[in-house]
Amino acid sequence: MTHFTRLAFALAACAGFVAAQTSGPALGTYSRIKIHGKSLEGNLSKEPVDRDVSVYLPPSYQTQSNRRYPVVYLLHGYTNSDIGWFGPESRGSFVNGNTMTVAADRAFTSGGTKEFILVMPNAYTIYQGSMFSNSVTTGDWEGFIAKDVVEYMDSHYRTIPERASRGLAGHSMGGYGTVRIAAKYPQVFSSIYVLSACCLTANLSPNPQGSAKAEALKSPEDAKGAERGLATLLAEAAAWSPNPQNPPFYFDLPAKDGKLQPAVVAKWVANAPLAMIDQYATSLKTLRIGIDVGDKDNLATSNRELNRVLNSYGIQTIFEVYDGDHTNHIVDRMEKNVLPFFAKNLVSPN
Amino acid sequence: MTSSRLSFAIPIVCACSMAAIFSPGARSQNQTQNQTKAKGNNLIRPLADLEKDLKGKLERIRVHGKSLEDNLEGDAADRDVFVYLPPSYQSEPNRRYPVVYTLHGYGLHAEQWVGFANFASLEKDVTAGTAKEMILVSPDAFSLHNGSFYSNSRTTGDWETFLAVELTGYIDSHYRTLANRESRGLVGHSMGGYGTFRLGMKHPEVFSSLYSMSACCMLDTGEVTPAMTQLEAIKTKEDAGKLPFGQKSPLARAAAWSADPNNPPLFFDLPVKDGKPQPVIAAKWMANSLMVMLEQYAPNLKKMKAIQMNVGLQDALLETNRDMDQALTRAGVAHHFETFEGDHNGQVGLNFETKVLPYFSNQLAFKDAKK
Repeated sequence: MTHFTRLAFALAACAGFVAAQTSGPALGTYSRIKIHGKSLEGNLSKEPVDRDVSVYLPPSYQTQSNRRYPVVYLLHGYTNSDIGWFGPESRGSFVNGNTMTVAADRAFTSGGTKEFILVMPNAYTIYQGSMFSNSVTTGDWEGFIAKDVVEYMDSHYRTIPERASRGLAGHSMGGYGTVRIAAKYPQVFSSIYVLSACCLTANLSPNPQGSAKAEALKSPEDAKGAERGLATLLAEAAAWSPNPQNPPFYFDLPAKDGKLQPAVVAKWVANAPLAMIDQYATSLKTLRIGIDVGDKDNLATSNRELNRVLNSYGIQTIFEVYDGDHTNHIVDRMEKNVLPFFAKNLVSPN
Repeated sequence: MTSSRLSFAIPIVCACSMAAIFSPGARSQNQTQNQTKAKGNNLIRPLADLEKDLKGKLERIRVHGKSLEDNLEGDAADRDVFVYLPPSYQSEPNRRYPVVYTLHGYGLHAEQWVGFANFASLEKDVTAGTAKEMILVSPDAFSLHNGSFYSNSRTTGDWETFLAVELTGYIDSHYRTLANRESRGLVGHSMGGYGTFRLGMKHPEVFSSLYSMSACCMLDTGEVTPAMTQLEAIKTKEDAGKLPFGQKSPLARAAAWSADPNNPPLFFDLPVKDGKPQPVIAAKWMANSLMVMLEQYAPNLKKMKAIQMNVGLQDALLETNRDMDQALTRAGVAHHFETFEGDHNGQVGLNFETKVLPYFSNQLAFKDAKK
């Protein structure tokens, strides 16, 4: 499909029309909707609580009006957003027309993959990513994903509103979010796929220099356009060490005046999956789990460790280290591995 | 000291040694133990004595914990549970009651906790008009290393699910309870105070009111002390069994917080190995500390109708409880914090009678909301 027809198709879908295909197989329908995040209300970073959400409905959704579908919830990476995957602001492996929509169409029309709905909320924040955590400063992103978005989808679309038919997957920060949300909400999702997850390892001795740069900022507005290292620190502080009594940022940094703050470091540690998943082994054991990471990704070691720890608890996983780096094969992995994984594991009547 | 005397002294020594362990600056352990032993023997009312004047009924039942099955250290999955039924339970066969779940401290069995908290004081309160009739439940969480820490571990079992789901389910299906969160309270002392906060954080759908008495484990950094390093020599259950009581608590915490299914026969890792700190393991202990769990679970604690916490002014845990009080305030979690004249153990019975039972009588729903 050319870029032009894809665009026309997307416009038609947005306008609420069923796109008429003149030739070739029927394709899916993409739209970007808004979902109110009750769990995000009152967040101290003043993040918008009505979030943009990309929704992909599979090809048969328009033609089979009584059919219900499983849903896979997708979480994007840090500095990215839903339209970095679905377009138009495609990034990484999703560029050159190779959007998540196109990849899903290919997977679902090639005959091998059972159809389901894809949903990706925009988790881009003032500090370039929510970390999908639970914080009074950033908001309760765990609850937003596992409750607000799921409830909205179940009440506005023809979903199969059951755990057995719900999946969760994400890349990098989204892979991290996938692990922690599944650990805390095993009653909502039955299968998860973790791509190149970040933030797995606890850091007991972070570099105080990072905090010094953040301390120099006067207000959250100054953080706009911050370089990645600094922005990451701000995003993590907002997500993991919120402090409602410390305006205007409403968070504590792991170091103050060059000295590490052990109580804050401990809070960050407590948000590292390799420090906390032991507590959730019973939850994770109820899930089907896929994990993959590129061999040239410096996160390969920590993802191997995640897999090892899960296996040590008798938790079965599908684990693969493939030829690639942190971002260059994500759309391919989604099409050829992740979507088939969910097609196989999610319960679907058809 | 003979072994029989030692085992007799265990509950008292333990409940106190916790405080000693958590406060390096406290008096030497032997001194603390000797003093509390003498005092402590009076603190735990023997069951036979307690039952003598009881108008209600104290049942000892056994509840199977599916969530505890196959725990790697071999603790029993069938747990002793004490259930106190108030006098009217027999005479008014259609009446339903709120339930307060009570969690004992490290080193105690449920049986000793019933006498330590003194369940009989509920009847005194009811007569005086300061509390209402309710059901009290006390599950036994004594484990291989003297306490489960009410955590979720492959090595000790999933105590969170056992208590919040299985035990509450069992009590609701075998007794005339008001089976809803508005009528369920949770209280505990020391390790049980820790369990109270922990379960409250994870299961706000089950409990509506919490009371933490002198809670432990606010921030456990897995610091490598000489005592911790010495524990590296403990390789088997037999080794562990020979340890003096006051030295066992790190083993219990390792079993609860840093399980390792690949490390038999004790199935845990210590925050020290070959004398060197193990940051990965220390991180797991930190991740189980209430002060750091709080940020992630503040929304759940905010769902509580009421949260109360107390600590004695002479308790080594005073400062960490003050820290938690401030952290709760910072996080916007409504609660009340109270200090009292006393140490870690001396006021438990009095507080249970004059504070805890009246508190739950005020907070819990005594009528079925559905009717």
